[in-house]
Amino acid sequence: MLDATQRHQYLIEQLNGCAQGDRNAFERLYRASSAHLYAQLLRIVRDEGAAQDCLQHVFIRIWHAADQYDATRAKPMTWLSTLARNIGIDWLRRQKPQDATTDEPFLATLQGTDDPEDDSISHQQSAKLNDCLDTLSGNQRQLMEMAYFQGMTHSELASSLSQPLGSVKSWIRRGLERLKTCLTNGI
Amino acid sequence: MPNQWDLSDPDDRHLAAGEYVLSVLDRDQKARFEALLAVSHDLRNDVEAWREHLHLFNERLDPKTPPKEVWQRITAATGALPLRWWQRLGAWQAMAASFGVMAVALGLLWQQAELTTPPEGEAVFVVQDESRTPGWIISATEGGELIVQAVQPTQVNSEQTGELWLIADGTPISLGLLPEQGSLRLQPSAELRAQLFNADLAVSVEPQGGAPGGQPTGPIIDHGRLTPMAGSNFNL
Repeated sequence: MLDATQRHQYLIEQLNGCAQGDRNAFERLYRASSAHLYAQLLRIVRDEGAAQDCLQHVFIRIWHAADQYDATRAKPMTWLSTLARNIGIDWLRRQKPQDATTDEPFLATLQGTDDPEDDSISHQQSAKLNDCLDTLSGNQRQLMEMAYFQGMTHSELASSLSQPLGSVKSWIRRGLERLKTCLTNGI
Repeated sequence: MPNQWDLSDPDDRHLAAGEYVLSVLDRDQKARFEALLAVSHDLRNDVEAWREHLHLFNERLDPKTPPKEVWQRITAATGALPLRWWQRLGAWQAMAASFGVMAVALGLLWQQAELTTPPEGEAVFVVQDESRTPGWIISATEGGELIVQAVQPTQVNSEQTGELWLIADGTPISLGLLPEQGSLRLQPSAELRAQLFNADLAVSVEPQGGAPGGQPTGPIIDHGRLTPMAGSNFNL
């Protein structure tokens, strides 16, 4: 098992290979990252078929855009996840007109503990990072996850939760501040 | 809690970058933010820092192996001839819209915490690459003249250049080559000017000198439309 730094390095090498048109590197990159990106897409689109379509789209883009990856500016997994998230959220937004009934799951997410991903602390993250998410209040974190995984704006969050816009904005700002403080100072 | 951000304050600016990455900004705020992003190195650093911070949410998810067919579809799709992207623009409209109106107010330049007021009557298209690095800012005067300013074009070099296309009825028509640095004025024909504000624009990577056959050959960097500049004051 590779440690985090080796894993980064490995992914960077494969991305560089893809930029050179090396199809073996592309396959290695897929093997090393697709399960993470797939999990992320499933979380966003909540549909296996759609997540697979999105994943396909993500890798086609990676193949064409790998030369734009700059290791001095982003960690490889963050860069890959950003591509995946954009594609997943775009898919969601295109579904929206046909799917006007998504409010209830949102509410359930906010209130609920029924979100299976919540209990699954997966691969070896440093304790500090996970602790930082734990410094968020339950509601704060749920709200931020709705924004992060569902691409919901302040106004969409406010209307789907029937909360005043100002409150939603404050919760999120405080959540971001708290996360930042924890990540910077370890508190 | 004020609703308006003071982006000359580094803390406020940093928090606005967090909101941007979290994707909670509404359309107008996002467009304004991206206008600043196109010209502010500090702001891009803030955005990158937040992408790393918020990646925490992804790291909590359990990896799940996708079915084998997905890889087969990917190899088939990437092994095949390049798709003619301009014919697929319709399907990509929704995506472009959600990426944000990349469209913004020219002149809302972030310069050492100084904001300038945009001139009236112009429309803008910020060309961004996959990593959302702004390559060029394309603005149109009311008369249909295009002012193209290089920001950080990542895919061009001594052998390759960016070429700007107007897509009319599914057919790309070249509007001209984009500069690797500095700015340049393009003067479309009267016929093209008439379509400029309602047509899709796209930028592709082409050999120096431009696409040899008059049709795009290289990968697309970005596409979108000119969006009229909203009013004046920059508030987030």
